[in-house]
Formats: sequence, C-alpha cells, structure tokens
Amino acid sequence: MSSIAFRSVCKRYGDVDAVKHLDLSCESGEMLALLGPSGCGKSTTLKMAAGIEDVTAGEIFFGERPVTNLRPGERNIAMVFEDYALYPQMTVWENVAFPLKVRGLYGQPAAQRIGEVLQLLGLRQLADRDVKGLSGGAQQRVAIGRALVRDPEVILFDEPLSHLDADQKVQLRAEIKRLQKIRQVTSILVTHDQTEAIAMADRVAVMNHGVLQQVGAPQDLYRHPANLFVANFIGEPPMNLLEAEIGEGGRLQGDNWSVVLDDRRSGMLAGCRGETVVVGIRPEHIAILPPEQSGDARGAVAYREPRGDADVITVSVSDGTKLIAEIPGPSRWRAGDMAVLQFSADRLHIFDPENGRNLEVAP
Amino acid sequence: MSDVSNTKGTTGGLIWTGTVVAYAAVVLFPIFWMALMMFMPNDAMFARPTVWTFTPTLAHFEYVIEQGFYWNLVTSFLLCLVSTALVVVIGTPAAYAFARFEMKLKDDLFLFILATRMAPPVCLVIPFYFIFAKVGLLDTFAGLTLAYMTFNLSFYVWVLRSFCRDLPVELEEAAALEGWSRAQIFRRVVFPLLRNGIVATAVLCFIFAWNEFLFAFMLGGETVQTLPVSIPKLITSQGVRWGEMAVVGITALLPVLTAVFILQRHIVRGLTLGAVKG
Repeated sequence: MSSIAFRSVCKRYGDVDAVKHLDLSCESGEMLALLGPSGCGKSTTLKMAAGIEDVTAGEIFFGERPVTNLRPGERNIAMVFEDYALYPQMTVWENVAFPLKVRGLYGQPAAQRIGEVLQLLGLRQLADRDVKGLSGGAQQRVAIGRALVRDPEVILFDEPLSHLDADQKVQLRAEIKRLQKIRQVTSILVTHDQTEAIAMADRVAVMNHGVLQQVGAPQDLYRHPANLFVANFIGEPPMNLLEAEIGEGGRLQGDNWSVVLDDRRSGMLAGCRGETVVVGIRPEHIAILPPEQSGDARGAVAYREPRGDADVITVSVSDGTKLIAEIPGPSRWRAGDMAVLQFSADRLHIFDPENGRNLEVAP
Repeated sequence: MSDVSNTKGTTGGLIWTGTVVAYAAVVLFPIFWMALMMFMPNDAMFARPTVWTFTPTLAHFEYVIEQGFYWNLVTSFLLCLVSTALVVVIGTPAAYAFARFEMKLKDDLFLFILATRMAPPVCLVIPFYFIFAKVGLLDTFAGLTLAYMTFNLSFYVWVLRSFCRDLPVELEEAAALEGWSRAQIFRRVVFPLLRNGIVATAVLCFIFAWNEFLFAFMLGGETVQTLPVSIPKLITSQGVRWGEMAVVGITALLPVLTAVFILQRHIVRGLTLGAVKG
C-alpha cells in the first residue's frame, strides 16, 4: 500500500478553476474523506487521482512514484462509483472476476480469490445472479468486490452511498470501513454527507470552491474549525454565527446578547476593543434556562423540533437574531415561552469577519 | 388496448375497440385490395359493380418474373444492405466520438452533419447528378451506395450519439482503470451495450434507403434500377398493368414489414438500454 500526495495540483476547465493549488496527502492505509458541497472540486480531485481527468498543473505521487502522467490503467488503483458502474451483461461472479480476467488471471488461483472476496462481502449466494436484479446495496457490494479483488494500491470511493436507502447506507458504511481496515488499503472517499465522512474516515479534508479549507481528524474539525466555512459545514444542526463587538473586560456585546469570555480568549482579544468579530457557538453548547434565571441572552422560543433524545429549540433573541440550541429531550419548552440562554464560554469560536479565519487557529 | 377496455369499463372499452378497428380497417383496406389484385383477372379489376368473387390467376406473377423484376429486388436489397452496413461501420465510431471526446468546434461540426439533412432532397439531387456525371459514378452501384450513405450517415450519427450519451461514462472509466485502451473499451464494454441501439437505428436507415425513389431514379435507372424505380415500367403503351403493380408493391412491402417487426422488439430494448440503476 502506498500513500497519496497532491502537490500544488490545479485543474482548470476553460475559465473555471475547479481545483486551486491543492496540497494534500493521504497516509498509507488511511481513509481520507474529501467533503464539501457539490461543485467544490472534490470529485475532480478524485478523478485526477484516478487519471480519468488530466492535471492542469502540479503533481500527484503514490508513495515515491509520480503518477501525474500515467494512464488510469497504469496506476494500480480501483474505483467504486456512485451508480455502481457494474457491467450489466455480466453476473456477480463475472463482474468481480473482470479485473483479474483483464490481467490474464484465470483458473484456480483466480477463482479462489474471487471466492474469498465474495465471502468477505456476503455475496457467495448471489454469485450466479445477474447484477441487474440486485438491490442497490448488493450492487454496490459487488462493485466493492470488484475493487478489492486484485489488491490495488489505492481505492477511490466516489459518493459510494448516495443512491442507497438509509438502512443500507448505515450497514454498508460500517462494512466499507471494516474492509478498508482489514485490507489496510489506502482510500479516498468523496462525499457531500458529513455524517458519512465522520463515520468512515480517519481524516477529513473539507473543500469549497476548489480550495482546501481544512484537513484533520473529524474531532479536530468539530472542535477547531479553521474558518467560517468549516464551522458552518461541520455539525448538525449548524453552528450559530453572530456578529459581536469586543467590549470592556473580555465582554462580547451582540444584538441583545452578551457573553464574558474565559481568560484565554479575552487575553487573545485584549487590545482589540471596539472591533467586530464573528462568534460561533454550537447548538449543543447553549443551555436553556427558565426566564427568572440570569444568562447571556434572553428571548422567546420560536419553535421546537423534537429529535427523540434531543430537542432542537430556536429562540428569537432579537428581531434579526435567532439562536438554535440543542438540549436533552424531550423537554417542556413550547413556542412562545420566555427563556434565558447560557453559552458555554469555553466552547466559543471567534472568527475574523474579514477573511473568516478562526482567530484561535494559527493560519 | 385490452388494458384500456379493462380500465374504462365495458361500454367505453367497446367504443374504443370499435374506433380502433374502424381506423385499422380504413388504413389497411388499400393494402388488402392490393393483395387481392395480385390474383385478380384484369377484367374483374375495374368491373362495376365491384366483383368480389373471381377465379384467382397467377398471370400477373408470371409477367413480373418474365420481365426480370427479381433483379430489381436483388439490386434494391443489396444496395440498402451495403449502404446501411457502411453507415454502421463509419457512423458508430463517429457517434461515439461526438458523445465522448473533447474536440474543437464540436457543436459546429455536429450541426454541420445535421445540416446535410436540412435541405429538401430535391435541392441536392441536381448537384449530385452533375458531380456523379463528372466522376463517372452515374448509374453505378457504388454511386448510389454513396448517395444513400450521405443521407443516412447524418441521421445515424445523430440518433446513435444520444444512445452513446445515455451509457454511463463510469462503466468506461471503470474499464479504463483496469488498463484497457479506448479501443478495447469500445469493443468490449460500449459495443455490447450499444448493440440494440445500433440495430434499431440501422433498420430505420435500411427502410429509408428501401423506400427512396428520387435519387434512385435520377442517379441510377438503367444498369442499377431499384424496385421503386422499376414500378413505372408497368405503365405501358398497352395500358397500366395494375395486377403486376400490386405484385411488385406487395413484394416491396414484405422486407419492410419484417424489418419493422424486428425493429419493434429492438427499439423497446434500445430505448431502455443503459446500465443497471438502483
């Protein structure tokens, strides 16, 4: 298995920059997720790794080996596609056998490998079936089998779960992760679904408009988002982002709310009095208290969205400001109730409103 | 139709069925009459009042065979077959290239291909005649094949390109990852999936060539005489040989009918072609 490295890779379609100066690496045996909204360049990046798309500038390495100018077939990679891309005229067995057949591997050794892979994926019983009749989940399993069968250096997953039903999604998610760890195969997963990325990947790279925003372990992205985009993109429900003015003694004054920062954060902002920042606070870091208590903000409950063990509650703090809080549920809050909000001051994120950068994370 | 009658109830179904039967009768009656004429003695043909009972005769068939009309049938058949085969051989890679490859001025080129179909054929036949006369292709098998190809090729490329576009590109990408060349991918992955589309489109080209009269008449006519062109020979100085015309007409109809039946099966498959979707 080998690592993958993108060195200052660019991709341009006509006048459009799809990927801009991408520097990113995926360690050997690691699963790296490329996460971002549609059109952010994640699929293009994957296709450049596969060799399906040319690189406009920059270089790609597999381990020490430069692959930038190699054809897809020379890179020793396998790919799993969003809509499976199984050969419809072949059976399950034939589809999985295909990569071996192309390389001239027939007979007993090939059959044994195919058998093992089918076993691993629980497809033994379906071996002689036409792929057309199978469920989406089973088809995608066959595609994964086809990718695994010849022990590629790298497997590229292009939105592998987006066409599946919810239950199949969760099942296959766990299965891909398990197989990836068993085989220790370096993998890149492209997805627009943060749950998927966080559940499956060792590290997540967030992209937007062709630019890499941040790369790190899922926990890091959640705890220390590098900028406003990542802060807003990671986490569900999304982070509350509010403008505030830096006041006296580490106090941040917003529109009808204010919070006193902890020592570390107020030290960081010392000398910036009067400037405006963007404050980010995750819904799960806001507590809702009865109106007679004191807190950081006060407002009326606009609506409550029960989510089983949690309630997502929207509170109007002022005309223009609504805050979302996630509290253990089921709770007794009803629309119209007055409530007091208490922020966890040690979990606040402070961003530069000009460039969106998190002031705590070194640029 | 049975579906419709089932859902609409008995009365509505009967009316519907009746309408369809009546329409079919109107459409099919001339063909039925033509089939009848093949065996009708000349005096019964235009008798007033209409004669429904007559002693069948094979005289019309004898005349047609005597006059060597089967040569026209063979000519037509070969001409259509060869021109359609060439259209498939040249048009399939062209359609695939237009569907998949990046090229400069692709849209303009493609429109240019279609433009050959925009002018009415009558406008083109005169230039064709002069060009063919100059290069010696007039009244040759090769010349007519070429003329039919120019017509059918644009149609074929146009239709087949959309078939190619409907194939998921991921199938080809997956095969490319296994190390196959473009040619191998085309032959082993694309072609099997495209087969129904190719058959359906080719049959349409064949029918078009089969029914063509103007070009066959202007550019051929003596040595190379197709079946449609041969029919006017039956308008003789002794009068119009209606019975013989019916024989030739029905004979000309049969290959097209057969083709349409084959087409029906393939066009359904052709339209549903594509890879498996979840």
